[in-house]
Amino acid sequence: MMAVHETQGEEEFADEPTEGGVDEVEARVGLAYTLKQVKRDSTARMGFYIIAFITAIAAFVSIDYYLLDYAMAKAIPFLHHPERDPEVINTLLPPVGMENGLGSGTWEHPLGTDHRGRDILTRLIYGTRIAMTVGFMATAIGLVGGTLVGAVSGYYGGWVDDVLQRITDTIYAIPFLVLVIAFMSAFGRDISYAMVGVGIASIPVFNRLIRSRVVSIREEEYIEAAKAAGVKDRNIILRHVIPNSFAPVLVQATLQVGVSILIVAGLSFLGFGAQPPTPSWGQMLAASRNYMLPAPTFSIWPGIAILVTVVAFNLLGDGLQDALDPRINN
Amino acid sequence: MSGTDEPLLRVEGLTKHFSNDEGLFGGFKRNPDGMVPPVVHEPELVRAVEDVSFDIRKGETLGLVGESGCGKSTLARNILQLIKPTDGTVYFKGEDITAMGGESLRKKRREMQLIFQDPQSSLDPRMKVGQIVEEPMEAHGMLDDEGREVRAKELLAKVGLDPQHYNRYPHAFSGGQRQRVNLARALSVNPDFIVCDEPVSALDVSIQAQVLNTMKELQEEFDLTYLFIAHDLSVIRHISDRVAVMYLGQLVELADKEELYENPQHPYTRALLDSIPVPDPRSSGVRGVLEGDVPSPIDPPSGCRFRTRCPELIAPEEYDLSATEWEETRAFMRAIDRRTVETNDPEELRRRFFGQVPSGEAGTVVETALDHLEREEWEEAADLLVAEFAEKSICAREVPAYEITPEYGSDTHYAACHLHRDEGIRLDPKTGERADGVRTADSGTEASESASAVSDD
Amino acid sequence: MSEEPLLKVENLKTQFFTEDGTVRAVDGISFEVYEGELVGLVGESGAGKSVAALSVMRLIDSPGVIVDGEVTFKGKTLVGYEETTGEPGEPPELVEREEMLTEEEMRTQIRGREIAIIFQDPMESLNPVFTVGSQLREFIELNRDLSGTEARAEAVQMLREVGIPEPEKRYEQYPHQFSGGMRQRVLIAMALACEPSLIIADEPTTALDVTVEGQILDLVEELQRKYDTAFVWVTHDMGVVAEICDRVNVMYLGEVIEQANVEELFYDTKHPYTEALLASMPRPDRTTGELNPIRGVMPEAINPPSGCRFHSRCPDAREVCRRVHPDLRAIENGDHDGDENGRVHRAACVKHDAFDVGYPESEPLENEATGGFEVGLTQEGSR
Repeated sequence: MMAVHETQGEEEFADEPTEGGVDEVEARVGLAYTLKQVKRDSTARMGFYIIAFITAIAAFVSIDYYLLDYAMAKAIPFLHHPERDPEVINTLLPPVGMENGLGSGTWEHPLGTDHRGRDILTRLIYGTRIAMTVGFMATAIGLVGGTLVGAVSGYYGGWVDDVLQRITDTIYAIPFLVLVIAFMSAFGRDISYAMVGVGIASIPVFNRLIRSRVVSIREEEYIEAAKAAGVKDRNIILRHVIPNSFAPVLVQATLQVGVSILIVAGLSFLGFGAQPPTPSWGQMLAASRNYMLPAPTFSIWPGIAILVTVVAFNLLGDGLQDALDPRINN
Repeated sequence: MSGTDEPLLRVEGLTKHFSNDEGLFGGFKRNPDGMVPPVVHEPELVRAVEDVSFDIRKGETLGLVGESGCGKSTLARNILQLIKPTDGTVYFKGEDITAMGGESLRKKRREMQLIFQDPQSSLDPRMKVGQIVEEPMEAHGMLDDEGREVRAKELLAKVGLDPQHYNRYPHAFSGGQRQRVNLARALSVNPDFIVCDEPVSALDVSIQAQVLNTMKELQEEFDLTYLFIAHDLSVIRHISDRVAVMYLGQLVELADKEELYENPQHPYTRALLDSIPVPDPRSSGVRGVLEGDVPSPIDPPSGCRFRTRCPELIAPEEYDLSATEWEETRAFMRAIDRRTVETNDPEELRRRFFGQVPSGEAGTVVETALDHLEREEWEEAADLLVAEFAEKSICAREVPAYEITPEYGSDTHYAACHLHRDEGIRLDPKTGERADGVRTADSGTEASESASAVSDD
Repeated sequence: MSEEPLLKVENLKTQFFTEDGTVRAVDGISFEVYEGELVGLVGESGAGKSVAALSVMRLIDSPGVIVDGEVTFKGKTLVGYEETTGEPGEPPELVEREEMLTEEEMRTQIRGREIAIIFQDPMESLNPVFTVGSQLREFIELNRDLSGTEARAEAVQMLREVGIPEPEKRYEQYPHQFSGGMRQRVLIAMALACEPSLIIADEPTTALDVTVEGQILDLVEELQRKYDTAFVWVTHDMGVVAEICDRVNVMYLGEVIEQANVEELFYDTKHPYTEALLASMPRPDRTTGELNPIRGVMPEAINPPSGCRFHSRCPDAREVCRRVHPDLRAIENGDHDGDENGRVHRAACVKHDAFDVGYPESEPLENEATGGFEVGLTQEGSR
């Protein structure tokens, strides 16, 4: 019956939820917070590390390619010149420790050589440049274009919306590959056109996503509050509408990088995109087609590279989705 | 509290119809006649606000009360020109702001601000409180960066927040505190007039009291004029000087607070006041319960929009009915129309509804309806009764608008109810001004077709 | 009314184990519901009233756990533990008593049949893709072993019972074709379908307009008279409490701080929180001057204040309130010592004589309400 119990007399007032220092409350928005959320998810973390690793390699080989004329490739012991045929042509060697009808693998070429005797490991590593450049640039083009079109379209509605949406619908109605191939046929077969083509073709993806977000954000009271306060439309879009619509777009962008890499690989496979002898994964795959039986590993390596990269982007994308989902967040 | 005679805001015949005539195929529907052309363009109009007129004087609080869907929020946004009204004029400080647009309207917004119901969604979750409060000042080019920050901090303190919280995000605040941020934002540009759209209905009672007190204090300090919208009659009674009651897009009553609460003259106001649960177990247990649901604003009843639920619907002059007879007939009509009875046996119905079925013409109508019912023709019976009784009432034929003599205070008492047609002064229902011409329902709105207007839903 | 309570809740504790800490949403509440009685559970948001109501039905999902207490209903043990052990901050190891009903038994014997629940938002409780009738029929079929046609007839009858016009026609309609009030009527019909002895109503009229609320309250009173069902009515609205409740439990921060019949609660208030709550309300029936709000904000249930949980906002707080945690005790009163059924007025406030902990000698406490902190127009929730 002695339920009236004494608690420590010296105890201070319990903290009120808002009492205390200014910076004590964690901000639940912004890049730092998002990254922190992503780090808590083990699969997303894995994706993030793989992407960071591949991106670092891509940066390193780009420097070598653009500025040093493959001086680094030549200087590092286990690498070879990625483009030039070697003087002693020893074609289609298997990876180290394996044998095929054409010879047995050596430590000189850990993953073997291709049909022209070039080192596969070197070409895989130098292929990251094309893959990552294309992946990021194409996505950036799609993202910027799609965000602008989608935000304007969703915010204003009415005929502006109708016109912009019908145009993007038209783009969307053409199969992706056909659209890019047509684009490249018109402008040129260069890899940069592939990049722009894939970028334009992915505008509708982002446009739709951001428009649907904007249409719901537009109804939020803080948009009306800004309007009622007399804030200009341009500022409303830039300051309120886009930042608040951006979470799903960021997720989509991550996934889209993987998709773009896959598509450009497909294009290279078909002969569009990076032209030989520039090392690219798709083009390596294309070259390996004729040597499936004598040297099966030749086609496996670029396949694995593409797979790992695309999966890494997907893992990160899924992780971001969870991290940015307000329902889980709050 | 009320200041000078010149109103700060004058609303005249404000009307807003929403239409579904948007998008590529909006407004098209199948031809109801089933003839060629098979598809007709006939956009449906939602008559959200219809002919609302009132003044708000400088320094006063006008309470606007009504149930959900009555159009009070639409009215607020019409007044602020956030939604352009279909018809009518809003004068702010004598200037017609309905005619304004673009940049001049945007500049005008500095003088009139809006506070929202939901303290959660009315603050951008990605902006710091400081930025939120500064944004309107920035939009109107007030002060420089530093000056704005100083002012924002001052305002935060003024509304009862810690200025040190300037750099916090909204999610770190409680509901009541967020509503204070809203207040600070509205005050930042030093407005004269603030429309408060259900500002405390999302808050707990104790927090609600804090915010209401703050709002009153700010009003005195900054000489603010409020249009205070709420569905809670207790809050309205506390904060307002005058109160307007809205039903289905129209004002039904407007009077001084004391007058409205102590001497309500519109049956709807009375029903509303009777329905509030009073926090006092000893208060009389009479709960004024209205029958049925609010009709659809797509096809509102003609004349007085409340007539389909009104417990005091006036008997048509054609019939010579005693008060009891009319009451019985009305109950019978509504029961048949809403199908709240199960039986269709005329004897049983007669017994249940009538002491004695009225004689004369009215009786003939009742008998014909009973015949229909006996043959299970519910629709026909309901149509007949509604057409003969409800539609012939003055309540269905004319839009009511009267000025009556108040018992409390000296302010005018507006009541849109024909019960006051004898002692009240007839007003023009469109402008709310005294006039002789009577606007019938037919000329104003396309007369709604009887039965369907008496909605059961 | 019988002497044995229909529902007896003792020392019920429900906690939510979150990343930020353990939320003690319901922290040792006790109350009884007698047959045919309408008991209010009233408090502001965050008081734990909904969690308390759901805990009675054992409808608490992870991360929430009923960690302690006993709930008995008609002699059956809905919640009862042998022992509870565990680290603070972690969900405890719970050993259920043998007579505690299994989840299966709760589902087949209690929920819906003996205790029904009505939620605040009828739209969320009804599936939008099925007709109202089919949902009602399915529920009746499931719980009352009736054939399809019988259940249908019963469903139509129930719709009629709760005052829905043209029940046959309405039976075929979808939830969106019903107005808010009508949907709430459907839920009441569903709750009544098995003639339960207790209905838990979780803010059932909060989302409704005042005139519709009136209609629903009328309906509930009528049905209660007819079926003699007991109600636990969860609400934040003191007006609704005054209108329909027989007895009231006022909750603050996970605890019941006052328990009385409705008349005494309003006219002989014993707890300063209840008093403050009543004083902070604007009144519909008279013009109020300055409102007396409760100062400050409700503290979070993760880290409730020491001693009396209301001491940080209480106008009557003294030093002792900060140290002593008061339980709910019968407060003696010369005029009415319990109501006609011997149910006493209880309050958890040490200022009453029933608590002999030295309140009168204690120093007044400086807090938000007594002016220790500047509040109101200045700084809410900060020094």
